[in-house]
Amino acid sequence: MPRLAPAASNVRPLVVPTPDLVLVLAAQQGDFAAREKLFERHLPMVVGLSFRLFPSRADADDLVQDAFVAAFESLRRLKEPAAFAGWLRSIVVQTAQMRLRRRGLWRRLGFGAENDAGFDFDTLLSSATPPDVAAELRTVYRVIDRLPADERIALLLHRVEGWTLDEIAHATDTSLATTKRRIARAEVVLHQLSKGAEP
Amino acid sequence: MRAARTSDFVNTPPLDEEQAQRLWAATTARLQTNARRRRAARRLATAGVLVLVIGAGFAVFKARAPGPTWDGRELETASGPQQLVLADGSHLDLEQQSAVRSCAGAGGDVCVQLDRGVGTFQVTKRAPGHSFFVRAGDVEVRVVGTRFTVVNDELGSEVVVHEGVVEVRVSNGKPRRLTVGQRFASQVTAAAPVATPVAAPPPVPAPAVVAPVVGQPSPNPGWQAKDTADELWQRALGARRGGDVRGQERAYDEFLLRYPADLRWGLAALELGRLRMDVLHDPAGAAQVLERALTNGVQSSLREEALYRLSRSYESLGRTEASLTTCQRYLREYPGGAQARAMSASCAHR
Repeated sequence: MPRLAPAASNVRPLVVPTPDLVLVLAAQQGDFAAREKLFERHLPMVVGLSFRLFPSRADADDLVQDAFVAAFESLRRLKEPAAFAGWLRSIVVQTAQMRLRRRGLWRRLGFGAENDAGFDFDTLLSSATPPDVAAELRTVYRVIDRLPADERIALLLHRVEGWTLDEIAHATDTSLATTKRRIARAEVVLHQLSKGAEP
Repeated sequence: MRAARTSDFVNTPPLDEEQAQRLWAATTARLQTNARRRRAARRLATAGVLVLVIGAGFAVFKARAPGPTWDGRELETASGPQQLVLADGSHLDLEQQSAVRSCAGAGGDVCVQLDRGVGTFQVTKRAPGHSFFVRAGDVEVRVVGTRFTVVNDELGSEVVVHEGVVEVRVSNGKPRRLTVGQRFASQVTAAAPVATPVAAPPPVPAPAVVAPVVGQPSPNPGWQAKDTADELWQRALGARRGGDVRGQERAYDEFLLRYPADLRWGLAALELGRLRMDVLHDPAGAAQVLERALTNGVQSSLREEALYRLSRSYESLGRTEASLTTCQRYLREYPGGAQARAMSASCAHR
């Protein structure tokens, strides 16, 4: 029997991606493939956010793994499966906070964990970055290593990610007032640095 | 089209298929490792709980289990009691400051010598012809298969039966059977093997068994052979009502001598003891009649007061050791008794 030629070679099949809701529900029931699909789908977002919070390839990779491990281990506790992306973002932020606190503790104990001061701005920033944005980003990334973990995260989320205060408060699981205080303290240091004074 | 955000100008590392696979492999490997760790932690916690439960069970078992098998050698308890298992399976709870050793028994007999202190025996059922003996001072207890307590102290020996039947014999006297609830007491004699003979009271004649010994006719004036027990009792009550203290004393004294089997004998002895102690101020006479009362086995309800008054009488006579021993005996037998607090203070004071 002759094989039928396609009716129209320029027609692509319509692929509707499975919604997060379905994948999360399946993953909560132990579906390994659904879990992998969630990983694939949200990996770029997690990698980007991790790298902007930790501008080092090795640190960002560690944060990506930590965040996904934490997310999959607590997936059964996610009450709104449709909000998986936002929930995963919060996990990345909170995992980053924990890593920074741990790093600060090691540093205080004299074990000298490396800081982020060594990264290269030329490779970090896109060539299309407007000069004013590039100046702002340079200032922010120069100051973050001098900030406590919580203030550093709040400042990056506010200045780089462009999150609202409510989004930051929700992601860091703190009150709006606390978020405002953290950003205000970070902005003071940022302001002093931009004026050339040592904070 | 949305406006560019600052984050759009930060380069992110290239994310190719290989990089994604590497991250996925690392993530799943860590998930599996964490799951294994959690399972191991759960198993460890379960094992810990099991160890605790088994340990607690073993501790309870050890606490309830009887002590080591006693080889029959002389054994003294110091500040604490001790539980012993005898070779035949019988149990002996030996109280503090007690001394025990095995004694010669014929054939398959078991013989235990209680030299001092208090021992409670739980004797296994005996085969015919195989007896279990306990010797304390001049008292020998032959066990028929029972639980009983033997006391051997400065005041003499005492046997209390909790279960079954025992036979008690003083020196070479006639054996007497004691059943549940019955008590036997024997006063100390000069030959009694008391391990700590400190300031022992003077020997008192007439070792006794449960039934009081009938004494000789009293030389007291006024006693007449024709007086019955009721007449003597009424005479004592009449003398009391009339304020005739001496007449009351004589009536009770004669009652005690003539009617030792009367049910009122113990009460008469205690009344006479009270009279001599509280009214006649004769602690020696009070001690004598109270000793007789305790020796002859007064009712339990009277025994408590008899012990208390005997201790007080000894104290008045300056017989400190005897007073202390009686005081301790009172507290041992009546720890919640009416005079327990006073006796505790008295014991502690001495």
